[in-house]
Parts: sequence; C-alpha cells; structure tokens
Amino acid sequence: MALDPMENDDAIRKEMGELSSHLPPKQPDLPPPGYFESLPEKVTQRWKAEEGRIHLRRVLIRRWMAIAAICLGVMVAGWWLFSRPDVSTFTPALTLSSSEAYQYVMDNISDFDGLMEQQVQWPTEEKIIVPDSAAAEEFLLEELQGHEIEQMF
Amino acid sequence: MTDEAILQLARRPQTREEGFRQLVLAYQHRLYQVIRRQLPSHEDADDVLQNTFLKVFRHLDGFEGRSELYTWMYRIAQNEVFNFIKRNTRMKMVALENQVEKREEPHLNPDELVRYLEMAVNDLPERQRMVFRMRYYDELSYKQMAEILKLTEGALKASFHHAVKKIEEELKSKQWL
Repeated sequence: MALDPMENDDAIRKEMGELSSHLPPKQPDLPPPGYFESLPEKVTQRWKAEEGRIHLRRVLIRRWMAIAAICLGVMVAGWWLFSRPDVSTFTPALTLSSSEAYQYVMDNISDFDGLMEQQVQWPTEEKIIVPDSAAAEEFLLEELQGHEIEQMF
Repeated sequence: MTDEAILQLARRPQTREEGFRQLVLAYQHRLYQVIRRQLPSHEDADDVLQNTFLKVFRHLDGFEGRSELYTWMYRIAQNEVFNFIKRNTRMKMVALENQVEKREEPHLNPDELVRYLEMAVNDLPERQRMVFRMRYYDELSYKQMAEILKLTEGALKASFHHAVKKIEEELKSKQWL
C-alpha cells in the first residue's frame, strides 16, 4: 500500500514541532509548470523505444548465433570429411616424379639422419664359384684314386 | 491507486503500459523532490528521474515485495543520483564551490535560512545526516528507513532527535535563528 504523503508529512511536522519550533519550514523544489503532467507520457515513450531496441538486438543476436552455428557445423563436417585417412590425402605424393622425390630428400636430408644411422641388413648375393677345367680334372683324379672313369659306371 | 493494483497492471503484458503510467503518476512528485534536492538543476533531476523510472520498469518483475514499493524505488533513485554524480564529477566540484561561496555570504534573510539549514545538516556526523535527510526532506517513515539502513526504528528515532538538536544549536550559535 502506498504511504499517504500528506499523512506522513503531518507526522513529521508534529514530530518536528515537538523537537524544535525554530527550524525553517521545508521549501519544495518546484519543477517548471506542466512538468508532472507530461512526465508519465515521456517516460513510457522512452520505455517503449528502449523495448523496441532491446527486441531488435535480441533478434540480431539470435540471427548471428544461427549463422555462427551453421558455420561451425560446416567446419566440423569439413574437418570430419577431410581428416579421414583415405587415398585422396595421398594423391599429391603419388604425382611426385623420381627427380622431385630425389630433390626433396636432398633438400631435407637432415630429416633422414635417423634412417642413416640404422644398421641396415642389405641382402648379400650368394657367390657361385665356377671351377676352371684344370681344377675339375684334378678333383676328379683325386676322387677316382687311380681307377679309370669307365669303371665307375 | 494502491501499490498492489499498480503492480498487477504493470505485470500483465496487456496492461503493462498503463501500469507504468500509474506508477509514474503515483510517485513522480516524491521521487522528484528526493532527486532534485541532491542535484543542482532541474534538467539533471529530470534526467535522473526518468532513468530511475526506466530502471524500475525493467526490474519490476524481480520486485518480490519484501519491502514497500516506494522504499525499493527510493533506493534505485539514490543509486541513480550517485551514479550521475560520479559521472559528472566536475559538476560535483562546481556545486561544492558554490556551496563554499554561499557559506561566505555575510547577510541573512529568511529565504536563506533554508540554505544555512543545509549547511548545518552537512556538518552532522554521517549517520545523523543520512537519517535527518531521509526523515525531514525525503519524508520516509521510520519503518522505511529501518528497511533501507538496516537499523532499528528506536535507533533511528534517537539519531533523528540528536540531529535536530545539533542543527538547532548550530543555527543558534551562528545567530541564524
């Protein structure tokens, strides 16, 4: 319930009268004539204008949020599509020529230090010893031990 | 129109505007006096009063009725005055300079007694000054003051009585009474 200003004013005047009769009476500050008649309209108009601005701001914020959400969705989908380890990501490597590959290795030779230090077991070719005819004859004579070759069969 | 009726109107979207209009009609005079007394010009007071009502409109849905509606609005008005003065510190300094000039005036006439009263009020201890202003100028009841200052009504009455006596002595000692 709103306090009745007149009632309260009387109470204060009475209280002041009991306490001191010497204090000067209050002098209310008066606004220009007609001020209080126009104020309610002025304030409600300002409030309506402010509400309109707030509403517009909310709409704009919602739109920006929707756009941001779409962009984020597109970015996530793109990342998901292109981050899969399929052949498409290796395609550029397949198009390298041998000279380009050689050039790349030479340009980045320090990257291959680790490989160079590894003990690589290269496959060794088995030597095939082909005996000459004199050595073959000598070997056969030792094996025959004085027997004729025809006697062996 | 009662506070309850105003609140009911202001809280329904269909009647909100009318509720706000009634709220301004009910409290514009009292709040204007509260604000105007603390600011040097009507234009400043008008600006602060309009901002006070706009803030009240914006937060009215959050008003839970734990204190009287006027007490709640009074607090908002005081905050707005404080913020206004903070924003306009230069203006505050000019006001203080004017006050010093007024203090140096040697002559006395009945109209100026009110100004000397304000000077005497400014010389009071902070609590008594606050209580005197709330009671004498802003016409708050002891119950409302107790809600704002978180003090008992008895303590407030005592402070107010001490303040009145001190002011009277001050005015008498300077032969302004």
